[in-house]
Amino acid sequence: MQDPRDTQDTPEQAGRDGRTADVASESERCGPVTVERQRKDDGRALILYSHGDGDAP
Amino acid sequence: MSEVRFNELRGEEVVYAIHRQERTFLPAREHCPLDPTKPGGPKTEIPYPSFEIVVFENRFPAFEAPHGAAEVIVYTDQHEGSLATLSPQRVEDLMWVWRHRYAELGAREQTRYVMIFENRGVEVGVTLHHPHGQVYAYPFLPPVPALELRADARLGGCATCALLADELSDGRRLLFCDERIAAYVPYAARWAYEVHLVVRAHRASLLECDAEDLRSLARSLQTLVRGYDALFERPFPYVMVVHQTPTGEVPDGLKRSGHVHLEFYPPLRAAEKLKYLAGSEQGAGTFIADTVPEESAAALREAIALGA
Repeated sequence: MQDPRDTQDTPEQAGRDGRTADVASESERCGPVTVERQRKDDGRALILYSHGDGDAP
Repeated sequence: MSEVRFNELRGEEVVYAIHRQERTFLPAREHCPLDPTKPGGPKTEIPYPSFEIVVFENRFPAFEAPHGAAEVIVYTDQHEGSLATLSPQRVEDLMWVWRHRYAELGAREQTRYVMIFENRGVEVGVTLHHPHGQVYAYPFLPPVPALELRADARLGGCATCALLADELSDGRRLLFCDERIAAYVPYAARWAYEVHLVVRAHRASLLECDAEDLRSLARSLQTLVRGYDALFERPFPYVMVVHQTPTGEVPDGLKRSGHVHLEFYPPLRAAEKLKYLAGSEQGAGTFIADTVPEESAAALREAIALGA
């Protein structure tokens, strides 16, 4: 059984750090989806997911 | 900040999130907080004029880090629509987003269970109509996944695998299946049109699913929701929950087992009639059903053919 706490890729590491990752990581991907991390003005995490190489704003 | 109290009589936690009383409730169309922010328009939760899929921390969370999490998953920047009307590629991408959120939230030290879900329709308490789902990271193991672990222990193996095999063998309640996914009304369904979408291979969570599993899951999800909408020729309300293995400690004597599957709990028992949780359901915990699963499955198979 694959356990998120036993894996080494980026989102799991962010989880082990205790919160959604705080830095934009341009190369982060999840399967065919590109992941772009941001923060809203009030500090809440916001994550943009785009198909392929991404067409994030 | 929410408060968790343990209800000794029920043997379960109750979460008090009183700030949620103030959450946005059925806003006017032009004030939808899940729409994109258009130039010159009102600022929404998503500060961009367009987007594909967005996840953000709920402004009115039931759980907050480090004691859990509550996130919103917005499927599209289009205000109208549903899982049935999104492009197949978008729904497939959504499966990867679910996988990503399970991995990240499940890796947090205090998370014991990650639940991805969607509430659809005012009948189940939806407060925003824009197509979206949610994900909760619980700092404790809730009662339903704990029951699933006990079912695995009682049956001496994966209960979902055993039930899936029974449904495939019987066939009367089967709605459709391919090499990867099977959809059926369970033998002892509690809701009139309850459906389980099950990954046929034993996968504890979405993390163990490969690309073809996720592609098939996305396709099956759309097939089912289109069938639901065709059943009574109206948008079909439901609660949809992704069941996966717990990510944290489990009670003594139980193993951290599980089998990823989706469960749909529609509140309609007929086109214009809701099933209410009343005396027996709330007081005794026993569902009294007005329909039999075999007849519901037959009706759903016809509706799915119409919705295709």
